[in-house]
Amino acid sequence: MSLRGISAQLTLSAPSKLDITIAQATLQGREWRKLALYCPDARIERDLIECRRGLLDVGEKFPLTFQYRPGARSLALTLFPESTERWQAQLLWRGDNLAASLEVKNGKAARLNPWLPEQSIRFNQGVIDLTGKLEWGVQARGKLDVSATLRNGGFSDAAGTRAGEKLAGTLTLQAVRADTWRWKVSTAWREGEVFWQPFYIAPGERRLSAQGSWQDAQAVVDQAQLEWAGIGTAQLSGAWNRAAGRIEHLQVAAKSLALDPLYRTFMKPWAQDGVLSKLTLSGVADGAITFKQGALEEANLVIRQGGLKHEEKMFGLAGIDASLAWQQNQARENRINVSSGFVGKLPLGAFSVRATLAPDRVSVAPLTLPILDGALTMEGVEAQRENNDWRWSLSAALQPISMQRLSQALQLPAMHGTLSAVIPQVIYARQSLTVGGALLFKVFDGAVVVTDLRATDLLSPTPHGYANIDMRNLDLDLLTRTFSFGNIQGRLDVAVNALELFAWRPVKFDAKVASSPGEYPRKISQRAVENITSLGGAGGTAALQRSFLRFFDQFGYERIGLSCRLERGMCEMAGIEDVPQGYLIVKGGGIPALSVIGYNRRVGWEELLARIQRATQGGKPIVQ
Amino acid sequence: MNKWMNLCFIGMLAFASAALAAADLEINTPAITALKNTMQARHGQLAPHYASGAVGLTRDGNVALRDASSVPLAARQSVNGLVADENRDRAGLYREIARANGHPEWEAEVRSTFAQRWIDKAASGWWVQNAGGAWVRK
Repeated sequence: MSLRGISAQLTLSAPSKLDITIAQATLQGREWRKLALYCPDARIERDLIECRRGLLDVGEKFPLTFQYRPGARSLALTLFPESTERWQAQLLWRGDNLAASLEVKNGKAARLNPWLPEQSIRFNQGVIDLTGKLEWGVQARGKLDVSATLRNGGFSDAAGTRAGEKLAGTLTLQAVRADTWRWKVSTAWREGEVFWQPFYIAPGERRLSAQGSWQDAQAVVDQAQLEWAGIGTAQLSGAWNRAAGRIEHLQVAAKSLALDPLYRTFMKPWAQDGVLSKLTLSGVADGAITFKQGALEEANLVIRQGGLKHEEKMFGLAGIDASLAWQQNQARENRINVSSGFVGKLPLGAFSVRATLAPDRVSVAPLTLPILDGALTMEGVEAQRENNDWRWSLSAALQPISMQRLSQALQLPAMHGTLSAVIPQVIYARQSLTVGGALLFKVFDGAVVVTDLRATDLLSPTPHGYANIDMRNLDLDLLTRTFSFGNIQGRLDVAVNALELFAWRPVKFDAKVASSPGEYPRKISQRAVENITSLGGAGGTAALQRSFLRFFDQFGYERIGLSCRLERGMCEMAGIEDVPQGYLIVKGGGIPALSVIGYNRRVGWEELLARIQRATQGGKPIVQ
Repeated sequence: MNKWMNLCFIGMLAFASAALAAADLEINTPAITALKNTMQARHGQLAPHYASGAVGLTRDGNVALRDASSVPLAARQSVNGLVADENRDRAGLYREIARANGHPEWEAEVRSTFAQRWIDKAASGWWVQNAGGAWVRK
């Protein structure tokens, strides 16, 4: 504290008048200029200087009274900033010892603004009641006792990104100094809400009690307890290295924390978009973390009866029982047991994950994920930390799943046979997934090979996907029966090259459907002809219905071929070959033979999808 | 009101697209259409916050929470979410337009062109960042 340019003027009259002006005053780094104290009703006696109706001008004017007794070395000072507001201090010197007391009644919280450690934040509302006592001695002895309450408090920064409203709470602090300060604090936040970007803390009761010591080198918390209504209780202890400005050590342990409110309050706000922001959790967890010299040393988490569900029902897991551990310099074993789950409409059976977690590496023991009557087995599941990001790799195989059960689960038309797959290598890093080698499926008695499969921005709502798909020798009889398309007998090859998906919808591809090479029966029903015709445009069906051919149910054919090159929402269509009116989709052969010609070369993709849907759902094709 | 907002949004988008001579900023792919649709749907929710000054248009083609004091505390997280979602879609739009033009490396130019045009076309009373980064009211 320093005062400069002090001048005092005493006018001895009845009553006496005392005016004091200070050009510049500094206290705790804060500076005031042109301070003035006016006492029009001063009482000056041998052992008393008293001001009964004074006025302090610090820019703002405050009525005040004070009494100073030089003999007793005591000062009593009361400020009345407003009619119901009172700030009262008493100071008493005994030798080298000081005893001070402070009492605040209905103090405006905003008066603390200049003293707040974070100057971008300001109290804009609130009333404080406070009583405090301080004893201070020269031999490093001291005692502090403070009790305060805040009512209807509000604070904010300029942008409103850190703000609180209608806050109410209490604080008690006791500290004793014998060489070092030992302190004990207890706070309760009873009312009000806070938004501290990105977190929002809704009204609810929270309590913190702590005790520790305060030295020049470090601040130590011997023991603290945080109770958070709705979430649970955490115990913590630690030391803050004041010189280095870092955590020397910190231990936090919590029991039976409610996972859903914990996630909603503290984790969800970090995941603003994407799947991680749309989860609902259940269950409870015990957790413990240890920091040493500014870095995480160990973390343990036990989850009991946990559950996880995506809000849009993309996936979910239930009955999670997990014991997870991570340590800075040591690999630790982790286990997760899940009793059931789902991905989309597919149910998952119980499975267990055993994983070894090292600081920069995760390796998972071979894992079997039951899906209906089959399973997805994963091997070589490994994650490696690279430049602050994790790179996952694995290989997998889909053990045969009955198509009947799969189609039933996916609410698709009943299919037969089995689905199995080999997935040689999957790599996931930076929200991108790449499948190395070829993905092999077996469906409709044919083989499906997916190559160059990759997806980017996977956790965002707008992921991109890319692939080349090659299907060989699909049994058209099985395929058309499944989709109520009208029967076709034969074999089909389908190639979808340069497939590009945006938000899982095709936006670009070059697709070709053609009869497989080889000898096999080739028959097509009249209904299938109608449906194929409707895909390629109008005209053919009407001609068929008018001709004698309508008397036949089935026709022979030589080849089927149709292609669609999708770009910018339009499908550029072609067939086996061009003919004067359009392009040939079905080339007739045998008796009776029938050729199908497509007329529209450009069809809007959405329109084509609608036509396929109408055709495969067994409805009557609309012929324009 | 919503119709007016949508018209306003489409107008802004079209105006913004009329720049960057070398690139076709009006190019349309399903990805661009999808992004425009979600941005258009969100515009109705963001427009009152532009008008109140809670959210402003930044000089780098994004939007930002600039003075949320008029928004109730419990709603600030969702405004935050709107801002984050909008910025994600804007980034996606700039990226997709550059890609659709066959020049992914043009993304920064597309962004800065859009940034200037969003600001030029902002309604009177909205807050925008000037070249120095300071907030000014149009």
